[in-house]
Amino acid sequence: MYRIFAVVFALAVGSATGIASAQDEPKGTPQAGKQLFEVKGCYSCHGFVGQGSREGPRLTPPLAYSAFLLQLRTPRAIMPPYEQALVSDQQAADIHAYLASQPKPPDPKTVRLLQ
Amino acid sequence: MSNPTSKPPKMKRRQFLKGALAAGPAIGLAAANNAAAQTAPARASSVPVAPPNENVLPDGTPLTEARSGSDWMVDVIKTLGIDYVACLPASTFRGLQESLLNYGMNTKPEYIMCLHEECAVAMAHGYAKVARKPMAAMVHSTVGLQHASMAIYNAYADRAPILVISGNMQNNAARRPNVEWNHAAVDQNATVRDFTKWDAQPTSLQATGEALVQAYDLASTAPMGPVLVTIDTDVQEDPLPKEEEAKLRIPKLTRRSHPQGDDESLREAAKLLVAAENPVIYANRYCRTEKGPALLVQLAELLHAPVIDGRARMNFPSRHKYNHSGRREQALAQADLLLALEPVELWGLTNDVRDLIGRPNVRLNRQANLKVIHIGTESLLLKANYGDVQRYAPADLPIAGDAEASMPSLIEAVKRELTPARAAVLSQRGAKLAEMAPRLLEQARVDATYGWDASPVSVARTCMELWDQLKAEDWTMPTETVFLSDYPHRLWDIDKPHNCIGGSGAQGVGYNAPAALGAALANKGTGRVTAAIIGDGELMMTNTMLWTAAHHQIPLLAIVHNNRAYHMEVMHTLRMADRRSRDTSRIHIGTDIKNPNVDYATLAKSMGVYGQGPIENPNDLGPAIRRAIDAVKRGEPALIDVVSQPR
Repeated sequence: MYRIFAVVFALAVGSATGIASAQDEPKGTPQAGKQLFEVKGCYSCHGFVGQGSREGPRLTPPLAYSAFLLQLRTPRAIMPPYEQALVSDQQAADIHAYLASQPKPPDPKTVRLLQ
Repeated sequence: MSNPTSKPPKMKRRQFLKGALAAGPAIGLAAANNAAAQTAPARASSVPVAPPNENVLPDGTPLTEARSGSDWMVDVIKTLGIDYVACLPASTFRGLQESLLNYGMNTKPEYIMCLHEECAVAMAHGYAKVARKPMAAMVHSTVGLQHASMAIYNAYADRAPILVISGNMQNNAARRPNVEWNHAAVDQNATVRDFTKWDAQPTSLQATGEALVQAYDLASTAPMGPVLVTIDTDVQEDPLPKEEEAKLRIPKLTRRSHPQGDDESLREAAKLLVAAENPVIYANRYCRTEKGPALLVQLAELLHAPVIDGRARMNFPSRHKYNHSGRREQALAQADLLLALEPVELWGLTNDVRDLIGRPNVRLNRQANLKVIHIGTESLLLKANYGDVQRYAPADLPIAGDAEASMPSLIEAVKRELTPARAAVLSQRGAKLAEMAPRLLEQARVDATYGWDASPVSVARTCMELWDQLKAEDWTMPTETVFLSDYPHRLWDIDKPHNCIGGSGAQGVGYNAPAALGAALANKGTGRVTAAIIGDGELMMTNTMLWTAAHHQIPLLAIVHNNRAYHMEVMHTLRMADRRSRDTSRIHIGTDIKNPNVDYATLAKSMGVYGQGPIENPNDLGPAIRRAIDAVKRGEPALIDVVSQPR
């Protein structure tokens, strides 16, 4: 029940033949991606900054765009699919750019509450 | 203005009634004559005489009573050692309520006033899992029991002992017109019979006493559960003459032993466990007493086997080297033997139904030669209607018996099976397992850093800000952690059975807030700090518990995990929209709790609870928790509204 949105981003996906090459990869903008990340519902499993949760894995730093798009269109495990009609390639690139723009988290050794 | 010195002499009630009876027809006649004179021409025929006042009592009807049936019921209840009874006031148990307050002097049990029957029963649910004994919840007939029903269902599914008491006027001729008929039923217990362990509707005082003791006995014996005794209103209120009371007997409450697995089966289980190459222990509703986790540690250390805690109770210390809950699927994938202790749901340990179109059934990644030993009481308490039974999953060695009660015998049987040579082999396995546990903790720490400074506040940050101030205390975190991405279990040092008590059982929303209050009631006066993280949707269902907390000064810290939605339903609706390639922006209609945003701090303050928030900056959270825990240590309830990430 609680795993309904669990997604396995297997490393194999990253090495799979991309459905978009680097040359024709649309250029995304983080600001547009931030809004889309919420409107399209990605935040609901992965958190507003892609930090991941029990419902969906961490998305930062993101996989290569081609692997990211492959997962979006034909998800592994039980993540629902996002077809072109729902998220265009440009929108996917925007979301990807938003995830890539997230700051690197602190080293856990430097966070007092995590000692 | 009236002159206080010239008051008429007081008239006794009987005298007043007699006067009214005499004057009534005359007054009525005069008034009717007067009205008739104004509206119609005078007639020779007489005006109909008003009927005699029907409130007049027949001569000899007693107006007072020295002692009533409900007084004797209090004598019975006091033998059970019940500390509290949570309830709303209601006419069908008014006799018992008055007896508890005046005859029983409101001690053992003490009356805890709730503002909704669901809160009363859920409080008793949370209380039972910390106090390790039942308290009572008293609910009105019919409508009150209907309000209570979801909480009773939760308690049944969670096998939590509660003594639910209700009233009912079974004598039709004694019911006043209208409301007392609506608030009576031929068989009101049928409302909840599908999810109580036992119920009774006694019709005499002696039978009532026996039912109360029997109900407590059955509720407290594994498999435990809520029980219901509906007490007849007349039996409560009827006078109890001394000669009648002399005939009554209160049954003695004796503590029944819990059902244990048979010796032969436990010996067979021990043989399999010692021989297995990769045994895995799964414990879910296993821990029933303070001894439970220590016994399980003993077994795991004998076998050098990993333990996965299903968390319906606190079963195993979170930082023990053999706690491998964080690698559940990997451990189960390698297992050649699974020991399932009160698993609640056995089929799902080896199978799943995917939430995809057609809902395909899949066999999980498990070894082909996997054998399953099941020790539990699930088969000993079953009702047919509701799905609490779960899917049928035959084990290779099913053992009917309470897992914790069976544990000492199983441990002894394992010791007998273990040769020194085999123990040495198992010890090597243990060394490898012990290396993995710290890595799980390190991974959880890394995961927690993502979104650490985000707003809305991450659940990891909230959990660790709270832990920072709980870790030096004896504490209870009585609410479910599944919506917190399990961070408490991943990052906190949980080593006592009262630290965590699992969830609602049936996932009936509304449990967490009042159950947390019940846990805090059980901890009251012990020095333990009770701190709960409660979803906003949960709190909105049963927020009147805040008033109860303030009224009875029950020290609970309630942190609101305010994601401003019924978020599980956001995800469900999103899944449907995605599957159908439809507009995802509309999924918030009917799922979000926004516009307006609820101000939970003000809600708390309005009911007398110290409230803070809404907190959106994670750096403000630590100081707020410090202030709240100071209040809790003074014996007061406190609430902090934290605007949060969804999960």
